[in-house]
Amino acid sequence: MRATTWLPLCVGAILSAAAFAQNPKMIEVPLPPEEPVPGDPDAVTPEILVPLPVPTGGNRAPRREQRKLQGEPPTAVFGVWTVVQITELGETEDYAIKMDRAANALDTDCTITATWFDFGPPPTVPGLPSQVTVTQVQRCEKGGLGTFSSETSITSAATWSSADGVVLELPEVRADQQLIRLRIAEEAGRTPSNWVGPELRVDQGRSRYTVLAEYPPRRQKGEGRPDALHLKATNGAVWHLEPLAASE
Amino acid sequence: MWALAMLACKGNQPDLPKKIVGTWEVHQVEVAAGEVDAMVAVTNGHPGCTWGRMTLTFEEDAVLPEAPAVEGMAPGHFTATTDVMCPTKDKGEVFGCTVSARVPADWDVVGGKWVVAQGTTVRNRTRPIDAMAMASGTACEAKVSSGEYEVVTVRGQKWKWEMRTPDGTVYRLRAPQNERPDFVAALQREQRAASAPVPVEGEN
Repeated sequence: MRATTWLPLCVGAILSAAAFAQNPKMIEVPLPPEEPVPGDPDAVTPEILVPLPVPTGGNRAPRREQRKLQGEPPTAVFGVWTVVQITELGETEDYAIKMDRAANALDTDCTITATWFDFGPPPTVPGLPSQVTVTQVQRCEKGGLGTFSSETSITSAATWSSADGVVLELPEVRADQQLIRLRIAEEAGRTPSNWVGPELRVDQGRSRYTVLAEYPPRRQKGEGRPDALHLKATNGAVWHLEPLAASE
Repeated sequence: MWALAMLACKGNQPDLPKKIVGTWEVHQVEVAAGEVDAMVAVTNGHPGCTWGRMTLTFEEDAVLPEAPAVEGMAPGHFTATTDVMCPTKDKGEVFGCTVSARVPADWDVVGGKWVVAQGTTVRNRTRPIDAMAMASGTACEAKVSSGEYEVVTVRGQKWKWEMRTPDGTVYRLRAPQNERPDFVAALQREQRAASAPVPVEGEN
């Protein structure tokens, strides 16, 4: 390399050093005090001042011992029955409590409060009904619509077979429902006020239940109405039904 | 030569009926006595209601290779939806109720009809629990009868399809203006009709 190439570089370096010496702008930044490292075993754990919430529910025992599945295959079923308990995985639970818990977990506007099976009026000739109405009752709370009860009923053909006990089959049906409240505006030409309710869906998959009728002791089969009906689904879950009070 | 043979073979095959899928609104109902507007037919089934419509939805199911297939039948679902608007006990207040019933159905490829093996009726009613709720409660119903629903396409009309229901009634189906019911617009139309001046006899 020639001296002519080095010369400008050297001059530049000398000039820069001279400028720095005239205007020293070094700023000293103080370092923050050392903080305990997260997960340090020597670090002090802050005291919890807010106590954990107490579980609610009062005296409502969510689970019970497994309800005995007893009874005999019915020869006639009629009237309206309500699901009072469900047995799943060896535990029997009150239906209303189970549904309440499900609604809390999902944080929905509606809670299922009851499910009814309507087998129709007493038959003139003893036998099993050809159609069944399953009603799901929900209690809904929604701004603008207040608190109301919504009953969705699905009426479908019931197929009975007796190869392995008395088996009730219900077809696949899906029911959707929605409510809207409208109020006519006092001023002419204005858009009416409206409040849209929650979208409700009842999905009745193709179901197959083995039915048992439980009669009180010392009463024979076919004598009057049974005390309870047990509907055992193919997945092993059992729905325990009791006659619905006339007032409901 | 091969192409000509293919064309000749194709020519021998009868054209399969056109399949109806998607959502369609009932435009008119044809009964033995004549034609009835769909809104009248719906409100007749819901006494006290002032507006209503019915839509039918036909869905094709995804055919799984392991699913048992019936020759000439394509599985799907059939949904009947009813929308009604009805006044409540409170003056100036109305409710809109939508209810639908969806059941499995099969499309008969050669026969050109949807076949419903098991029909259903879905009813909904609401009752007030607190003072904020509508005092009079609400009710509405949708029904799918079991049987065959034969369809044909129609040209040059407001409606695109005609469908014969199992009880012999013919539905004329048109494309819906909205998938969901527009209760607000229905109420506004009602209000305009109510406030319109009544024509005096003899005036043109």
